[in-house]
Amino acid sequence: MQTAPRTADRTDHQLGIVEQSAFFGNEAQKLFGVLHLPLGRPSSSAVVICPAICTESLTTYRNDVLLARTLASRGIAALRFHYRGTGHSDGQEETMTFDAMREDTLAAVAYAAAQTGIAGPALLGTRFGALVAASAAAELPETPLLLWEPVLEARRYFREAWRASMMFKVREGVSPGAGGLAGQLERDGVVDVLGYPIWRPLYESSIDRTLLDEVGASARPILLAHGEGATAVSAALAEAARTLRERGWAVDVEVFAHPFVWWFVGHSQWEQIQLHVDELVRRTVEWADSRLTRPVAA
Amino acid sequence: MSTERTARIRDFIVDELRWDGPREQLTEDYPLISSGVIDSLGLFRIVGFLEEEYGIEIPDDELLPENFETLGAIAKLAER
Repeated sequence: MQTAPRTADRTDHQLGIVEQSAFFGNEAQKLFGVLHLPLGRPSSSAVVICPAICTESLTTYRNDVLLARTLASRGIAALRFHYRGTGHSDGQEETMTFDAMREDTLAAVAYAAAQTGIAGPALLGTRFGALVAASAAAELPETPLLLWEPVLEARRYFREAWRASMMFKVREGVSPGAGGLAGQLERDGVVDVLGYPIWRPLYESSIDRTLLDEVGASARPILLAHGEGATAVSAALAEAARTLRERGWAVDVEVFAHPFVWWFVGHSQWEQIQLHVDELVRRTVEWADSRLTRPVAA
Repeated sequence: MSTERTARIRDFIVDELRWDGPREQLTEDYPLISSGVIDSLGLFRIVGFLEEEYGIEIPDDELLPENFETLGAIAKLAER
């Protein structure tokens, strides 16, 4: 019989939530997660949050915490977790692969379901985490998806990562040097992007993936959240939404008036972006409340 | 060098990057990076803007400090 994991709990009476930190999953390689629950009442539904990676994991961490707390205060359980090789979870970042991240997400879904009694938690992903969430959801028919500024093509994502790293060096007055991300990975096996390494296994296991390929065939409700900036990105997202609707998906798109660029820390537009993040959290919770919640038995 | 292109880039810096100094301060040779007008995020967004606005792709080996230090340098980069 599987025993419940030991948890370290924090109660927030003002928000009406309790937060349970725990290690769960495979005994050989444990995952760390924080489950946010409504205080003193059952959850009406649940969401598993797939975090961003690399430097975006740092700049979006607070967003995920805000979201999880707000969801729980509205009666929706929310599980945040760290992929193996990141944060407090076991494993080595050098061996991270896309498939492993998908497995971790499925383990997180199983854990959230077991702890809350909610069958079929929804999946939310930010940026690269959105690609992972979509891939995991493909194995869970009808699981709703909520995707924040989703990576539509992994190839484009890694190009952006490289560009972001180069722009930081340009800002510092340093010529970035030749080679490109793929070239450096081929040569060294790892590339530093703004202080976060991208290792070859993650790159090679991800590079050809696209959101529309990963989501699979099973139609489901989906929320796409996007901050307007580059027209090409907005057009690509609109095209993805159109394609999913043609496949029978119930697609909602929420657009925000400022681009969500999370590559950098402490830049001049940080406060602007965070204002829109507060709105992003609010609109996401509203969507979850209307699309996911089901009446709780008396 | 196209003054229209320079003006368009200036507009982007003022309107999209929210430069709140006087527009006329952003002359063609005003030092944008060393004076703090644009930071890493600004540079990142400028590159995206140039590629989209002018239908070009800026090769990685052109992403050099000297190509972004002034409005004039950025406009020249976009014309290559």
